[in-house]
Amino acid sequence: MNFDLDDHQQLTLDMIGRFLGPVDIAARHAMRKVEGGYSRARWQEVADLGLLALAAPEAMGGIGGTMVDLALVAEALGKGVAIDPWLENGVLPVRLAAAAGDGRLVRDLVAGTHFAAVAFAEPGRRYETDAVGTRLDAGHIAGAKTFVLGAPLADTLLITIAGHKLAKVAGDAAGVVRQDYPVIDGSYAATVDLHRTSAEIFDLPEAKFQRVIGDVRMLAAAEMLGLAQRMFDDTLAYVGERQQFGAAIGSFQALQHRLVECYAALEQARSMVLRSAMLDPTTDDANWPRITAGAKAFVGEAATRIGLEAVQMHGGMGQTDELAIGHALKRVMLLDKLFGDQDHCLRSFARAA
Amino acid sequence: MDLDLTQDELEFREEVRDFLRTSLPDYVRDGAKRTPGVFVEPDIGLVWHRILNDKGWVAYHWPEDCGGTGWTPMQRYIFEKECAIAGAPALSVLGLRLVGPVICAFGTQEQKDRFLPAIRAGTDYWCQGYSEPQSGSDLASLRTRARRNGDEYVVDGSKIWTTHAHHANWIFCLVRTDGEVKKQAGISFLLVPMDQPGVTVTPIITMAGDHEVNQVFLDGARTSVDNRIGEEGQGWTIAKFLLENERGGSFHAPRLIRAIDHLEQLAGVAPSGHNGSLGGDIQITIRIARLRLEAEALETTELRILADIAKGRPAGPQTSLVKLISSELHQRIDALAMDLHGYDGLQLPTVRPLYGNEAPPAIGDEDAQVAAARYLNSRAWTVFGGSSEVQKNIIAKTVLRL
Repeated sequence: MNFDLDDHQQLTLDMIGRFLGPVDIAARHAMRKVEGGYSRARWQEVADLGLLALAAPEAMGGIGGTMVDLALVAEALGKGVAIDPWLENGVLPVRLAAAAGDGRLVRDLVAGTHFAAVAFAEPGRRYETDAVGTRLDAGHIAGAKTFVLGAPLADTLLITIAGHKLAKVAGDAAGVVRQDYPVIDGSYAATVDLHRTSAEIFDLPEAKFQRVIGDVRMLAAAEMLGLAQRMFDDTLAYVGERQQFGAAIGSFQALQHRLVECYAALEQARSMVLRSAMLDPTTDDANWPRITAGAKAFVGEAATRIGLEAVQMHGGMGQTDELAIGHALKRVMLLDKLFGDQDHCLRSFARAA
Repeated sequence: MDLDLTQDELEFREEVRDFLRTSLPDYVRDGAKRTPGVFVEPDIGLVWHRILNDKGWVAYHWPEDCGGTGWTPMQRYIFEKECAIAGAPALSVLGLRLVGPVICAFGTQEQKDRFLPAIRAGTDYWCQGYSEPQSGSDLASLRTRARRNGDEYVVDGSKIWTTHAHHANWIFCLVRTDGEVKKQAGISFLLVPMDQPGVTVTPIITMAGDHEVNQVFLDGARTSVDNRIGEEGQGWTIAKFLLENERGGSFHAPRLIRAIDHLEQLAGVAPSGHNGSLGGDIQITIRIARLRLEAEALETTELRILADIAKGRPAGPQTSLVKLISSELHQRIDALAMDLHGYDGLQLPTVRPLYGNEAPPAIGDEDAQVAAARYLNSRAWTVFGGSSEVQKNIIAKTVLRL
């Protein structure tokens, strides 16, 4: 048993820390105002750091990082309140393309020259992931998707379709009708309607798809852990500085006990993330979706609670869009619902038990 | 002991219902529904305000000699409940609920004549200068200073979290007029015109992207000595009177219960994702049931306070209890509303308003468009008007005598 980072993991975390730097709220607001709410030049930097290759198998030109390696990256990105959609436009399309056997796309994605968005959600189907409203018909696809994160910037859309298949479509292909909209973390998503759209079709067996969903849930939990750590650290610092009634508000027992509860939740969340990530190579694919659904629900609850306490303890300042805690909370709210909210994930965990 | 309405009260309720049916414009109701902030903007609020004023009902809770209606507490309750059921916008509290009653209670006849008609007519729009950057929960430590200069006060300092200061032409301020005495004793209550070189308003954008609050800089701002309410040093007494009105001046339960009814309807049609609606989902059903029980109990708590007031007993710190419970209930309702919409609940439009011709299209159900913004704005309930922590301190000290 060993919970220590190895040298390579430590180097990666240091590198991410340098890349992200301190949270710069003005720069975040500026980035969200550019078209698509994010910069492809910055995405290239993410790729150049090897953070996308880490998620790709060695056989397809990747580094083939372990789940622990990836969870550490996700946590570090969370702790730095990264604006980068590493999980939803990096890990998710890379893993899906790999699962579908599209090695060429994996290489393009890992290089950072190609940006992909994944269309897995359908209107009115809540968090269900079996595609029923998007179909293949005589070599073309038709249907409707929603909540396609990062779609406005995408060169390629990866679209789940009925019959356990994955369609690869150019972002600007004929028959793709996109309606872009801003989402809670400041990034942009789109609804995507498909009318007789030409696509390259791959098989995506259900077990492989569930495996990828499990990976994303795992890493969403890890990113939320990092975000929770940031919100907790900032709050601890704030209650030590903020003076009311002639004392730092952190000297009030009513706040101290609540902060201790947050600390306990944070440590438990960390244990859950590490435990789940380390189970990866030893568990079978059938168990993985259940393990990660439970982990995400557990960490999501902790991170949400810590975030709401952070906002409350920051008082009026906590309500503004000027602090890292608010940006972190909004990212938590998105991740907490990605591939299922707490209710949904707890049900998956309980049902499969 | 009973909960029944008298025949007169039943007739009054019919009158209110008729009025709301005929006088509440659809676009006002719609604007209120699509406002993610805590208060409606004046483009919606003032329309309804003026309709109520034409009817003589806008300042229904004021004393009759100040232009109030002379309604019994039960009539006020009935009116507010019917307004909530009809989806009428909650009007800005700043003039009607906060400074208005202060002027009624502590103002001179000249001050009443100058200010009250303009509040009722909606021609003066007020904002509140209480909190300061260094004085939030510890309000009595405020530093904004007013010094006498002939017939005027000259005010220097800064106020923060000032709701709708960018719409207001007057601000009521707590200021320090004496730095030598105990901190509460050195505070006075001043009315200051906003349209002057010494007053600057800068916006504060909240997490949801809304502009409701501001920071107000007072830099040599001037106001006549005639615009002081009460005596010098009486400001803290007035401040507490005002805060009790802010916390307990209106009834929360009717709006909360209406919101819960709406959630229940929404759950009945919101897709569960597997060929059914969330209305049959046991987790959702139980969450709604818990909210409903809490809100029904709160309604009765509010009615118990109302009965005390009707019998001439002071409400006092009970308003802190209502503020505490209702704030957290607001937040839980808005959290469930967001959850009901699934991924659609994660949209957060960057433009305002979300009503009218320029509004962006909603993704999914139209309610989904305001859900996330409302959830985020709703965090303010447990902070403004005295945070939940402050309410608990008040209850511990004055009710439990700890």
